[in-house]
Amino acid sequence: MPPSTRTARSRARRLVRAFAAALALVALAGRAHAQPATSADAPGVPVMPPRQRAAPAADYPEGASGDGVVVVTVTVGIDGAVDDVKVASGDEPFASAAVSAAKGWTFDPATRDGKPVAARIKMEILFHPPVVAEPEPQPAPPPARRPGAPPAPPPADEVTVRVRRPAPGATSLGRAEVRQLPGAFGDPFRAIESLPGVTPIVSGLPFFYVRGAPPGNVGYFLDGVRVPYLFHVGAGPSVIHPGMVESVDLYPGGYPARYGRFAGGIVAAETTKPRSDLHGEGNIRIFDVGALVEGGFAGGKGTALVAGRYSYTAAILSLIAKDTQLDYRDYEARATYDLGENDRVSLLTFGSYDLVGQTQAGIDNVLFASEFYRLDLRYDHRFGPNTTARVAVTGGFEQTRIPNQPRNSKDTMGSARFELEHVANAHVRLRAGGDVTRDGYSSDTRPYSDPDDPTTKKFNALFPPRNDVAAGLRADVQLDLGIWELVPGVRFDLFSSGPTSKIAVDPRIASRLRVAKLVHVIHTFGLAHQPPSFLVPVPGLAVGNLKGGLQQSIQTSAGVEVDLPEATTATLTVFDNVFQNMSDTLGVSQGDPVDSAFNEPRSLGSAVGMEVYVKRKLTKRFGGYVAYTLSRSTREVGREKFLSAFDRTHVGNVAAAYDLGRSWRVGARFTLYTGTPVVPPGGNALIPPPRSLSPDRDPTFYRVDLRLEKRWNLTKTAWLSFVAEVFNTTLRKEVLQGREIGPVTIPSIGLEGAF
Amino acid sequence: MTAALVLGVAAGGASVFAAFQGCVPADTRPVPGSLTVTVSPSAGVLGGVVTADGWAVTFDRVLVGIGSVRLGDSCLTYTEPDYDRVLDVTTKSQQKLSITYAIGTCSFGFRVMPPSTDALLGDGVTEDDKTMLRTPGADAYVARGGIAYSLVGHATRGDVRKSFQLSFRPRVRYNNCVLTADGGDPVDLPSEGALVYDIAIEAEALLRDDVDAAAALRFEPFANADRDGDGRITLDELSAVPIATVRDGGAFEAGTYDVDDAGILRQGRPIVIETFGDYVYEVLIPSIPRFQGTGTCRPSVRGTLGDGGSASPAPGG
Repeated sequence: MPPSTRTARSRARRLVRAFAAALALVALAGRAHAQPATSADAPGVPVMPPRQRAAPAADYPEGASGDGVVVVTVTVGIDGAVDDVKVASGDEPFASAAVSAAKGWTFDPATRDGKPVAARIKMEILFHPPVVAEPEPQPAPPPARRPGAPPAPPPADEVTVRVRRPAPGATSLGRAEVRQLPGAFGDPFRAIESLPGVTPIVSGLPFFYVRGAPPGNVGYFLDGVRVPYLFHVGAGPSVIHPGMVESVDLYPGGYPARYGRFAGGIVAAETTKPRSDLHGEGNIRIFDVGALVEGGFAGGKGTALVAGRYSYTAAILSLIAKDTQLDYRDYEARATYDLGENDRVSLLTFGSYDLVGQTQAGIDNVLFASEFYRLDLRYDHRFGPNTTARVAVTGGFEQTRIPNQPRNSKDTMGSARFELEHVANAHVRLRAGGDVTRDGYSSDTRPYSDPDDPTTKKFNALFPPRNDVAAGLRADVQLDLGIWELVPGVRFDLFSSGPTSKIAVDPRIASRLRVAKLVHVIHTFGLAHQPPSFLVPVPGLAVGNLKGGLQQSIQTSAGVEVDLPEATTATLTVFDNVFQNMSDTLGVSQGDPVDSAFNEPRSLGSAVGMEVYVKRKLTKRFGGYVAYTLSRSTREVGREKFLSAFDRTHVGNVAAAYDLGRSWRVGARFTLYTGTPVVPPGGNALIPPPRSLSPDRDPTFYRVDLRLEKRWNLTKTAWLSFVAEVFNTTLRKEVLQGREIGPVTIPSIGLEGAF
Repeated sequence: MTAALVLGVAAGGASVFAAFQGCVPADTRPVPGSLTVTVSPSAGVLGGVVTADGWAVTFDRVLVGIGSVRLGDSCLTYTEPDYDRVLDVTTKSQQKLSITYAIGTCSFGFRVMPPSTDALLGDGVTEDDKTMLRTPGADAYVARGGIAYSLVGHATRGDVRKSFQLSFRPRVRYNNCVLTADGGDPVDLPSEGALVYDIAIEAEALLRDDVDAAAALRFEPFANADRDGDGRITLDELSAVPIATVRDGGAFEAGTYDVDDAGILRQGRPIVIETFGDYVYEVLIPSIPRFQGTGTCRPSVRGTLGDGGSASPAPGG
């Protein structure tokens, strides 16, 4: 057994033991603090929470500005009417508006043992000026009782219904909040790069390491559908229209069993709830224009949404660099139709296209082009009040014109999946699912190629034409024990590529324990497996035949979350990740990683660190956050141990947004991170020069992003904003391996609006 | 709202259509021309040379790491053969280096340096040879690096026989090669055109007493450098010979580099020739490759004294 493997296994055992010990402590603490989650007069019999039937939208209060959040405690009588409303948190004038709206709500009453009982629930109401795309639990009219949406977990008398609480260990970003983040251009996915645990490769380039895991090991999902890549070419926006994204969760490790086949982090986005009232939004900027419109049909039984973005960068570039062409566009569409009280069919499709071209010697030449399309057809069914099911099939196509080859690599994929969710009682929610995915990969023959060129041979060996099949089953249990939320789970995956097959078993567990009124302790642990990955996610290109075997990661974290005054939350997390057999070409490259892109070297990786996240919602009059990551990421190749090529000891982001009044809002973000380790020169020798665990580093990089917005409320529901935003206002150049890059500065001026 | 539904259906339809067709444009470029580059031995490598001072020098083996042919940006290069080979130019009169497909008129360049991991092996070259060249080492000029040239040979004059086994570790990129001194870009490739260019390895350039290709060949300084008298000439021995002791009426005076009075290269790279080894390594080594018979290239040297780049014209190679 190689020393590195022995070391890894020893370390893995140590981590498992440490985590088990931590869990035992948490369990003891849980027993000491847990309160019975049943009512006093009927111990042991759970209360099923009331379910909202009609919820007139809360009006945006007169004289208010900015966004508001109010939590109300609603007492629902046995007839389903609202008997009483009290403000649990929130400022005026939003609080009064929330109380007024809540009094008009109606519910299916809570039940105990099948009989209606009175109950109190907490609900969060978000206000945007004016009211646009409200997230749940404020469903848009008409009330959308989604067959696929499970009932909220029901404690006894008092039920806390929140907008959506992320899984323990995850960080969630909402669209309304992200709109205020300078440098993110209103794009939830771009905001990910400023979260703790995320280490950028190069400023402006939307690829990043997550707790030591390279970009190729980070999975992207939209409503559970895998997205090949997230961002348009260069420093472009995300490939999904932001108006369609309700929230984005970053799982830096130990993620739910639902997500698999990636050994690093998970970026999972959920689309907005379908709305049958006609609404829409649009924006026009220097580089692109985008729009979204959604409405209902068939008397509200159905909804339809279309969205898209189109870049006219080419027209602008033609004025600056006549020979260069840069295009991108994307589209999204969704239709839902309720077949009955408990059945809904949905169609979601989205796609993206990117092109970089150049005219040389009078000939149009495609330097890089990429596209993908997805079509997801779902059927949701509710088996009674506590059980929901979803079956879905997905088809897709993606391809990329590989630079320097140049030829197209393609993937035609199809998958089927099912998801089950069952609320067994007030404390137990079961989730299970499975899927089968087939990817048919092929590459064109490289045209006009020197037959001796080893690069061509290596490409063909690494990316052979073949069919890959991945099948998985997973299940987890969400245990809500009052002060302790525990989510144990496991997933099984079978990977098959060409003649090779591998099986992976990935146990996961996450825990959130309230140890004091405002203090939670959070633990996550998980194993994850992944087929070999490429440098960065490239549509249509995946390493074939499981060459070199599966990658495996062991991810652990422990943290403390404290609710501070003024709606501020602080989180301190430590993590320790081990990556075995990882194919991190970026992290182990000596010199230009592109030169060794087809070598697919394997290494043993490790990442340890600490994350600090102090946040007050950016939607507050004054909001902001501090995100800081202190980490150390190493790689071992043979007997050589060294820092990952993109190890950055310190990564910090400080963002703030302030409502100046009169609908003016300003924001700034300061980003700073340590330079990457300098690789010793002379990497072309048989035995490369030794790399160090304490190398010299490139200079520290920092930048400042700014955002200014002026909003006009045109009608009660329509508004228009002028937004000016600059990424890297400081015009800082970044240094990578002694070479200056940039400055990558992106100005954006545009108009946004919604109705 | 019907319109939105229609749009949704249209988008779905577009998605299905795209799934079968894709939108990435087809390759509409015209059929390119081809540039085949070969490497051949000079006449001196093949048949040996007789120097002006009466030595008969024979090259038994000349290993060279060479490749990474590149064309200038004014050509549209379809595929760039960014690979290299390890060749023994004493075994075959002409060997393929690479084929480049392109269209347009542009400059031409290539590289001589220690072989890469993926370097292909020429006739008579073994993996052991490649390993030997790739194994990092040090000499008076390169702190750590593989070998670009390995020359093995011997020289006789009368009954005196000297052998040499010399390894050199420079990394030289040859840019802007031209066919004649006042010539333009050497590559002019129309669609479906075909060009063949050759790079000759003139190992005898090490024996010149000047950088000019027509300079006299001298082996006497090499023979005299054999201070230990074992009959084998080493690089260390060459580097122990003060250059002043071999300069004789102009020989070994001229340099590849255009230095000022202070011995500083105009481009800022300090270079001072103090020993005969310096002269061989710094001045003569870059002139070993010769482009297309009488052509010249502009060498840019790394890995020798000063470890910097240079853009001075080299009469040879």
